Amino acid sequence: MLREWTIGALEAFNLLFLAYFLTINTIYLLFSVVAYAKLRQHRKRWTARELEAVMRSPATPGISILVPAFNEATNVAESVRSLLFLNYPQYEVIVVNDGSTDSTLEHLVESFGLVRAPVSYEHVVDTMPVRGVYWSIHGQELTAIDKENGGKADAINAGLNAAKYPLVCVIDADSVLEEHSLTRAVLPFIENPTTVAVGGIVRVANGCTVNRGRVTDVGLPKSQLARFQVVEYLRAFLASRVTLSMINGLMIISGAFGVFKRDVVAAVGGFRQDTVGEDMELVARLHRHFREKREPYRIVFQPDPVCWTEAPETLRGLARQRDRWQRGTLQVLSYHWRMFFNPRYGMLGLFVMPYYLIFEGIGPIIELLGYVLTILAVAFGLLAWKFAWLLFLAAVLYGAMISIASVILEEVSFRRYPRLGDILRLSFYGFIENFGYRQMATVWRVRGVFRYLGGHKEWGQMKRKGFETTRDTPAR
Amino acid sequence: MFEYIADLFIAVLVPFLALSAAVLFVMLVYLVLHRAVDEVQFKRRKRLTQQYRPVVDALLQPEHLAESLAAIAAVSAHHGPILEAMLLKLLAVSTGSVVDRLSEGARVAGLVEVWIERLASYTWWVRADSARALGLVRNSGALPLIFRALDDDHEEVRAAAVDALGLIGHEEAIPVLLNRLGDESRYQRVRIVEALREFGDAATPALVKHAHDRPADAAMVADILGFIGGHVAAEELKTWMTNTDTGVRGAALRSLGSIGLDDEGVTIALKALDDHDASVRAAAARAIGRARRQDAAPRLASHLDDEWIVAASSADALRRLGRPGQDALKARVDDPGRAGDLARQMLWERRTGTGEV
Repeated sequence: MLREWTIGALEAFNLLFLAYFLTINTIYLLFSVVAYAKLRQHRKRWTARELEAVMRSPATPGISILVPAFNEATNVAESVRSLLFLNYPQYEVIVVNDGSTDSTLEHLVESFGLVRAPVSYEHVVDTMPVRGVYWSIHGQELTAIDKENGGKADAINAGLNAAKYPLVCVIDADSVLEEHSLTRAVLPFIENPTTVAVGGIVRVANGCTVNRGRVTDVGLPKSQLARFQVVEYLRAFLASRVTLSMINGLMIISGAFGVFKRDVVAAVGGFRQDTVGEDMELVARLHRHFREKREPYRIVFQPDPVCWTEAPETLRGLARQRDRWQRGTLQVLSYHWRMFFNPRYGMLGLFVMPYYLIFEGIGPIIELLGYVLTILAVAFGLLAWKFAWLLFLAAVLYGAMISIASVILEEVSFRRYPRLGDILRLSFYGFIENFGYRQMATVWRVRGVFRYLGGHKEWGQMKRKGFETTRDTPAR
Repeated sequence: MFEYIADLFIAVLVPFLALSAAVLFVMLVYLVLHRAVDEVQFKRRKRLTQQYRPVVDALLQPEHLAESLAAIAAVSAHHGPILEAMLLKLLAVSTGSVVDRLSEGARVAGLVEVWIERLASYTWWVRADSARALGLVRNSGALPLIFRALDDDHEEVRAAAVDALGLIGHEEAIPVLLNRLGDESRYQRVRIVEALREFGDAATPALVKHAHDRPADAAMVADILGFIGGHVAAEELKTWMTNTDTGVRGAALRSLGSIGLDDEGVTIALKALDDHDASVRAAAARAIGRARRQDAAPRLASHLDDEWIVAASSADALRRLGRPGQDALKARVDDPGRAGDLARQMLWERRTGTGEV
């Protein structure tokens, strides 16, 4: 009798897991189909002529690029130099040295001839004390702010206070923007004045040749771990974010590259400092702010302004990153729990937030339970083989198809990988991603869930080695 | 019941996945074939390039010119694009008589006519490439057409036309380029300045005339002279220090600093340290610093209490002056105000940079 009950319960659980995998993969399949149409439309809409018009227009808004830097001495000068050569009519670069313990500030001062300046500006957001502001005597395009350590969000807020232009672009100190990235990112602000934030696509720089702060040759990483991440990034950005952006349901603008209206970010209090998911949290707060005030707004994902960033190539680095992302997601969902299933927040409250809770927040636990219970139950003869077969079909094979679809999406839209071998390799990695890598990532995310429940809020140690070597990068 | 549901799922899922996989497979095969065709074409181009390499290389040697031109004239029209790419690649890095021989090769291959024809292409990048190619072969016969390309709808075509005019180096192009300096975007202005740099000091008289004709452009012209100018430009810039426009005086000093100050220039810069405009004083301090005139240290030190931009520029200049500059900075290290801050920073920078104070 007990055995029958157990078998019945296991079968029911198995079907629930099955429903979970079918739902998430079908959602991704739909995302991919919709994104395919949207990406084609996007490429027709924004031609070189449109970009040229933006470059020439006196109405193109100025942008303050905010670069939070903590112990970035090895690459800060190169990163900043590449930013100073972006092709955009009006912008400034503000590097915020967040109490680095290495020689980040000294490198900046020496490389760009910076001099401590008596500057005062309105502090619209509270931050840790600023120790000094440095200007170049050769021009006003570069400012360095030296402040006491307060974390990434605090550093961005310090930059926000000093920004003089109506738009602020937040990037990581170790990211590389393409020459026209700002121009492409600013297009939605010009097209629709209710746009308050725009996120660009983050691509994996491992395997690419970076020359003087420019990606001059795009290639696949040598590391297998990084190759899996290339597929993940394509799936997340090209399929998911393109579609969510269409319904104004974008929940994340990557901390590695996002453009925001300065006054709007200041009005909601800047970036929140008590979370490791400050990028996602700000976007959620912006949604909430505008929905509650019933004001029109748009938060947009632009698929072609590219930001290149290096992905972790060690299991330890990747595990730490995924742990942090998982904790960040759960923190943000808990901060904004009032939005769940609340019609006041439209599609966001009724679909996007529940989607994030089920598939991103607690999804890893469901996935891991599904794998473990099914394998154990089949091994002990409690479940028929067809249940294992079903799970394999719904989770692994269906997942592999979705991964390959995202590679195809890349090939028919931006085709950034010039070699045929790269596309074949990516398709291969997309297929085998579901045979081990995905399950490994699930375990790391489950660890993140438990660490979130344990109250861990730290970022963890991050090693920076410069562009030629591996680094951990928070490219959510 | 659960087993029944599972059977139902399998019955639906297997055909659905099979169909989806088939669609994806077909798409992937199509894309791979597309790429494969591209790669085959690439390899063909590579093979033909190797085939024609000796013919084109012979153009680099004057004694083989006649044979090489004859071989080029015999090349099939289908292989024209290969020859075009090879010649343009060499032209981009060649100077002197080599350019003449390569240009002759392009003419014999019929490429010049092709490029002139393509200047009217519907596709902007074809127009841009053609304009640039005509510049690389220094085809002054195509000047009127390239002038027309300066008014093209597309920025890249206009930029290519500017590059071409710089490469051709015909004096007729100087006023045409200058007239566009004030109107174009910053991106275009940089290209125009680069093109004018190709002319070197030969462009100075035309630039000076332009500044006289259009006083509003004088500051910009002064900046450009700093990039392209030599002795002739420096002499002219010195006379601009009496200009009533502070922008012009500041730009003239910046440019003098870039070209390099002689004794007269240093005297002018020292005098400019007393200018009523802070940006001019700052430019003067920077120019003196770049000239590393140690005898100017006391004058620069006296500006450490000036407006921030002047004080910072003077401190930076003192840092460059070696021992006298350091001594002047050390003398102000204990000052409570801005001079002390700047002096301490400059000495601290020096310590971190070179290990000495």
